[in-house]
Amino acid sequence: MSIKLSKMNINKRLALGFGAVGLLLPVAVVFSIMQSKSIEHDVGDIADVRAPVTLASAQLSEDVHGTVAALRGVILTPGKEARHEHEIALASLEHHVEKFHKYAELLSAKDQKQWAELEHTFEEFISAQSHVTEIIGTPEAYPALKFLNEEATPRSDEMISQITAMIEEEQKLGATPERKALLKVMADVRGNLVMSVANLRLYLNTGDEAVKGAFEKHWAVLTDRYGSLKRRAGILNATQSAAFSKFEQAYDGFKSIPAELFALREAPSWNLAAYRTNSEVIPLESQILDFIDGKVGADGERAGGFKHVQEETLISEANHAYSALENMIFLMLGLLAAGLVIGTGLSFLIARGISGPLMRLSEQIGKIADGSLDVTVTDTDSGGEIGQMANSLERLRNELQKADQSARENLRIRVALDGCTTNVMVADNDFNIVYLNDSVTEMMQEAEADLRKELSAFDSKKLLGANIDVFHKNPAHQRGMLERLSSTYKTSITVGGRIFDLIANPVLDEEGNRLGSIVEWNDATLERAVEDEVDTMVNAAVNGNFAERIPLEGKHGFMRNLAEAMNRLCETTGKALDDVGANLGSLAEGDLNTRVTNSYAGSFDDLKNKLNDTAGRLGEIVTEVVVSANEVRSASAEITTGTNDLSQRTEQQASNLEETAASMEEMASTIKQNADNAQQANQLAVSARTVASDGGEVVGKAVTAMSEIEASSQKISDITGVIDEIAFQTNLLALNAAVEAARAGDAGKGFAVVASEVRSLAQRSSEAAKDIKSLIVESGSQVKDGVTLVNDAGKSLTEIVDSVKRVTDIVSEIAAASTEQSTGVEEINKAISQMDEMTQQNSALVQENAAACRLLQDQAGNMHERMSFFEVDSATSGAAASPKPKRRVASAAPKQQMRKVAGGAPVASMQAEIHDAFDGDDEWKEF
Amino acid sequence: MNDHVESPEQEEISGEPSSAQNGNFHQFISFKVGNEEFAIDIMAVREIKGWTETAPLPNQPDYNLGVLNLRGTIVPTFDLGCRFGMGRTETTPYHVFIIATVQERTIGLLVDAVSDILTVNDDQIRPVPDMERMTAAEFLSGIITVEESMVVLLSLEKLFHTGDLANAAEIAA
Repeated sequence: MSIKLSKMNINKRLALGFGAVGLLLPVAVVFSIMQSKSIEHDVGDIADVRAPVTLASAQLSEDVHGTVAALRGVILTPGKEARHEHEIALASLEHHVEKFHKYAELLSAKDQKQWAELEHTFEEFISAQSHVTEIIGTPEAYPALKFLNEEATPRSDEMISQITAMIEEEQKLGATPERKALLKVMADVRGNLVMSVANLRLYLNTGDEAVKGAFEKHWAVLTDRYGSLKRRAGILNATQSAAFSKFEQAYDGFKSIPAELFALREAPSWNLAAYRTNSEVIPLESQILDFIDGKVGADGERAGGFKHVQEETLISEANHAYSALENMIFLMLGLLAAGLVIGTGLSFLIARGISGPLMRLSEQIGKIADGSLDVTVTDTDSGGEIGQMANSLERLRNELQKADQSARENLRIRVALDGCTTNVMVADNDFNIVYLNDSVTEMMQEAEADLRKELSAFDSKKLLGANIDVFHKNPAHQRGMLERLSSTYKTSITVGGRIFDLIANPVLDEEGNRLGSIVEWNDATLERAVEDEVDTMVNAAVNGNFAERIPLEGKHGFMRNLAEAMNRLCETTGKALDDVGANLGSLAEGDLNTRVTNSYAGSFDDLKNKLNDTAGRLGEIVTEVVVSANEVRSASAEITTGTNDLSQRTEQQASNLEETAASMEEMASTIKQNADNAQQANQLAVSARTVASDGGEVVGKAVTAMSEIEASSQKISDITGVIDEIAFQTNLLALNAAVEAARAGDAGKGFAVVASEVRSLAQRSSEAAKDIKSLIVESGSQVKDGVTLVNDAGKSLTEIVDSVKRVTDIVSEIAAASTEQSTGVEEINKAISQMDEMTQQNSALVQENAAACRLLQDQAGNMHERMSFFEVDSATSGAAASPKPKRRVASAAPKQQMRKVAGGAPVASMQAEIHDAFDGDDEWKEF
Repeated sequence: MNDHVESPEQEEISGEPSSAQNGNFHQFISFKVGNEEFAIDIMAVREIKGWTETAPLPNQPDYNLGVLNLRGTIVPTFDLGCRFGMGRTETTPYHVFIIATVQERTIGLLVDAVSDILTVNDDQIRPVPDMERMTAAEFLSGIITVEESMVVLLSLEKLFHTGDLANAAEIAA
């Protein structure tokens, strides 16, 4: 923070300080608005939803309790007031349910769903209460009493009236002991009956077990008395009997009723209103309260219900709002504290950042003013106005330092120039001479006499402060040139027989402004004379004349040394070149034995050695060439012998080829004959196959004919069957006739004879039919044999056809093979003729070879002869020397040029030619 | 019916050779059953008929083939081969029914073939030789020699039990 701060300018520092404090303000405002919104939302929720819903659900719970209490009141005291109270409670409940219904949509989805179910439960709850109130105060409320009124009371009344009637009747009758006893029984019956009914009614009202016991006691007595009354029924008069029978009827109907009444009274539903309240209303009530107040816990209190949930939510939302408010207050306090701290801290930092550097800088400026330029300027890297100020101070210090340094340098150069041997003169921009060093002053004094010849005004003592025009006859030109001078300018001037070399340079300051000119003087009069002499001598040497020399008289010092050296150079070079020239002349004449013997140094010694080496190497090469020429001669002789052999073999090959060609011709004709024969065999096979196929058709027809014969035989067989049957029937008829004839006695004798004849005829025809049948059967079997044979013949023919087909195929293959063979033979013929041609070409080549060999031999001889031109030291060349050919053969070679050989015996003719070519030179053979 | 059974001999025995009008000659019809040749008196024969399908009757002995319709008369038929213990005959169209009258009852006899009409002298008829088991031969009334061969003369009355005939009569009735 402090580093960054130090780089800022003062404006920014102040802006930063106030900006930081200012930034906190909007943050605080925005945060408090957000918190207020949140609190507002919470409070709105509490006011609009939580509080009404909580109140409404509490009201609902209260109403539910109220309706049930009112209902109980109605059951206990079923008056109009109680009913009215109950109706008010119900109306209040309905009103609050409707009211809550409006809040339902503010609830959560789950609660809304539960509330929808609960609304249904509320409806059921209200309708159940209505059902209960409907039956209160009606007989329906007490089933036992209802049953008593409807069933028991009419019967008991009937019994009492009937027994009363009997007793009244009895009273009219005369009293006997029996009658008295009867009357007592009747009286007991009536008394016990009345007591029973009274006790029964009492029990139904009170449910007291003692009353029930009393009833049972009276009922037992009644049953007993009823039995004795029944036993005494005989003494009843007609009226009594009628009444008794009615009594009995009623009794039978009544006797089972008490048990039923007890059952009804003892059932839990004896008081139906209370029962329904308990069984229907109360469960619904607890269901509703389960939802609103929560289920009953272990401590008997309802907890966790909708009401409680809403209350808890209300409390938690209120707490949330409180905590938000507290947060806001804390945060505002925090922001206030932060603002104070930041403001104070920043103002301190900024104040310190500005005043410190200013103090340091003023101290340093004081030191520089006192001339102490080594002061280190601080705060140059800090930003803002202070940094700029420090940087400017640093620059100022540097400039002062530089100025001091350059003053010292200038003094140093001036002193150096004074002692310098070079002649230096400096002029200002107006070309007044401002400086002359010691050596130029000396030179000017020396040349003063010569200079005064041309420049009469020249005075060497008055040069400093004079204008440079004193050196020039035409000062304007000189001035213009110097004014334009931008770089080094060299020139020579000749004044009064003296030659001066001048080197002028412009003097420029750092910005390139012209400050003046510097001129270096050199008196070059003597140097120029020696230069001319050396030039003359070098020119002569360049033109090959090393005889020229520089005269030494009148020269001393450097110039004399130079002249002597140049003379020595020319002498040495000339002598060496003469030696080399003489040696090369001997070499040109073929004498390889001469050498340079004088001793030299350096390059000349190198040249001498290389020349001697060259002569030696040439001698060796010539010797080697001679040896090689001899070897070439002997090799070419061997090649000639080889060529002879090759020629003979080529001839042999040609004659063999001719024989082969003849054999191939014969073979080709044989193969062609083969192919023709195969073709004929093929045609024959085809015709044989046709004949065999025709035979097959004939066999097929024969088989058909046989089958027809078989069918005819079958028909004949059928016909003979008919004949046989007719014969049988005729026989039977004849037999019957014979029987009739026998029965007819003598009268039938004639008839018997006829019958016997007819029978014999019938028998004969039957036998004939049998004969025919056997014949037919026989012929049938023969026909079958015939068919088998014909089929066999047909199969054989088919096989023959197949065989012939195969034969045809094979023959075709043979024909094709023959054709291929003949093509092959043709190709072989072609190959042979090509071979023949090759052989011809080979023999031509052999001929060419022979000619070439001759040429080679000639050239080898030639070369040998030429090499003899060189004279070589016998010690090195003697061993390789060989006898020269006595006769030159090169002239014979062109006549033996190869000839194109065509026709029958090229090889033979070539052979002859080669033979001739070699035969003509007996010496070669020897060689 | 029982009457017939109890008086089998009251009528002329047709199986016996009936004397011809000239006294010495009798005529027989010979027929084949299996390989054997038998003969009956021609006078007992009513008709000879080719084989026709018969209507079988229930609960009858094997040799009873059932009845056939002879121009409106119902005639019981018997398989002679079966009767002789040779097993039931395999009939063909060439088998023959001999329609004969036995004790005034008309019956049909299935035979393999009718061979001939034999006219023989009395002396040509030989009695049946005594045999161990007469019962087996009790329906044979004699043996006729014809040239080298012999023909067995059958007694139809004995051949068929009175029961058979009675049945036949009942069926015919």
